[in-house]
Amino acid sequence: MVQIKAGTKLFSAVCDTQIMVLRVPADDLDVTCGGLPMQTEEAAEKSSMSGDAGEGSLVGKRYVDEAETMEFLCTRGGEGNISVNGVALEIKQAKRLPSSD
Amino acid sequence: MSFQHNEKANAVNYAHTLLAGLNLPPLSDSTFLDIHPAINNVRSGVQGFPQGKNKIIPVALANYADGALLALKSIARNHTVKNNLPESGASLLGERMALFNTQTGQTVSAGGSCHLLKSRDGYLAINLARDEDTDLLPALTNGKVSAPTDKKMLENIFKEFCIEDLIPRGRDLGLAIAPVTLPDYNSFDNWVDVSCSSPSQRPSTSTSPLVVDLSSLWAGPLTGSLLASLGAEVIKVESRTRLDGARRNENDPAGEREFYNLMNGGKKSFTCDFTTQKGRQQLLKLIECADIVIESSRPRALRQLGIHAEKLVAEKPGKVWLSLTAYGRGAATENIIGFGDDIGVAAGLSALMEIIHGHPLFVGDAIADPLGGLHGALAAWSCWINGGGLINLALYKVLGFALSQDPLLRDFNKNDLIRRTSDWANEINMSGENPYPIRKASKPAPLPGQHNEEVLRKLDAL
Repeated sequence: MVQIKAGTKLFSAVCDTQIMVLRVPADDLDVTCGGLPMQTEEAAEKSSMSGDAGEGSLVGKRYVDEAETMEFLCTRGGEGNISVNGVALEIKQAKRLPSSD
Repeated sequence: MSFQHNEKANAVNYAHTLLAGLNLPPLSDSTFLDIHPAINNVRSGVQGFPQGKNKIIPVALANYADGALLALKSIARNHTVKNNLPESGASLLGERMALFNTQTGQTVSAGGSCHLLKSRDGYLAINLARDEDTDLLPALTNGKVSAPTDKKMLENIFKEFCIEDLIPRGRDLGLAIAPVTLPDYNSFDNWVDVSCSSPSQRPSTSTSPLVVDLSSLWAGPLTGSLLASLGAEVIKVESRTRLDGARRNENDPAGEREFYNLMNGGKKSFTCDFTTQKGRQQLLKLIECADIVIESSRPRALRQLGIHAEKLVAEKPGKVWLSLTAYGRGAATENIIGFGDDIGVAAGLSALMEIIHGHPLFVGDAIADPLGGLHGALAAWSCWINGGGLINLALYKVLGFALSQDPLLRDFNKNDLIRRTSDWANEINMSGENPYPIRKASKPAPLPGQHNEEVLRKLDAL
């Protein structure tokens, strides 16, 4: 298990998925993609997915747990589903448009 | 070196250059009376209000805006339509500041959300325009700031980071962030890139095109409003759960409401829910019907809704798709977001102020927006006349191209620029010119979804 904090980039071991940590609780987290732990470095060769792929990850979307105690940003999409401690994360609703730039 | 009228910075020459970039003939009537670029900047409001108090902007921004409008007028169908267009392109640059009563020429943008901050190796601009943007600051700074944060804290932390660290990370996070540097002005070959669907001619130019305007804020809506002035029927389409953030209600200041009316009056309003299957089907059908689509989203946003610009343009000969982005379509740049002020920084304006005046400062109000909107209308309307295609219009390239017409920027010459700045300062001191009058919206903008029934009826009849 890797120590993660805001700004940490994580890479899927099974697909193209890349996420960045926006906020996480202090607890140890088991962040997986496609069933395998995500890593802080991109693997030269991808492993095969463990279990069902699910819907995969979408670039640009923010992913949260149900209680919104943690938040990740998908910076590259892929086929694997992102889960934390065995529970799949959900897409957070789109950002409101700015009222002025 | 004082301004010379044979410099390309004059509006008529700039109009010729823009038209040439679209393979269109030059203006047939070039009786437009060019005024001194410094005076035009002051009158346009880009120098800020009250006039002329801020540090001199040493480039002819107002003239570029006039040139773009002149080019647009030259391709308008007839005289009546021409008269519906704004009188001056320059006046569009300052109208939001005048109506919102805001200031420019500082280290915070007129709109208030963009900041010039010092990093370890130079300045950068970060635009926290959306409420949720501040949530991203802990990730941007490796956890060194905790959200919520204030500007002072950000200033202190940014000093620990390098530009080459903050910019890519910020862009990965979807923040609008740009370095204060001068781009290579020789690298701007053209201001627009149009891929034509097919050489076939579109059916007829006699009817008015149907425009579906998916854009929000300033640049895209301005393009839509200019096309409406040219005689197009424009339907503004918004997701019901995510309306244009520039909308104002009766509790907001009159000036802010007037600005929204200027951008969106004379359009129809259609809303549907982009998050439902039914809403997405309505959206797609409407886009399929459109002769001209205007959108200012990142390409992936529509792709994720199953809407593919390339495919839709190929399927309907003559269709025009105006894709307004910060830095252009294509894998390397299409996911980078930008707003008018930070794009102005990326195009070199704040670096120019630093070189001339010793401090990086914002220039104008979201300067890439009104210029982008004017150029967008020119690109979209000419493409409609020429038989359609996908228009890749990057606000950064519009501004960079305009600035690259200036010989003192292309072959960068600091001494001549400093000389020009003092000449222009004298010019401004001698003149007592008033700002251009603020436009009045011809019609109030429709309420969200005001034309839903009418639009759905039309869609069903097809």
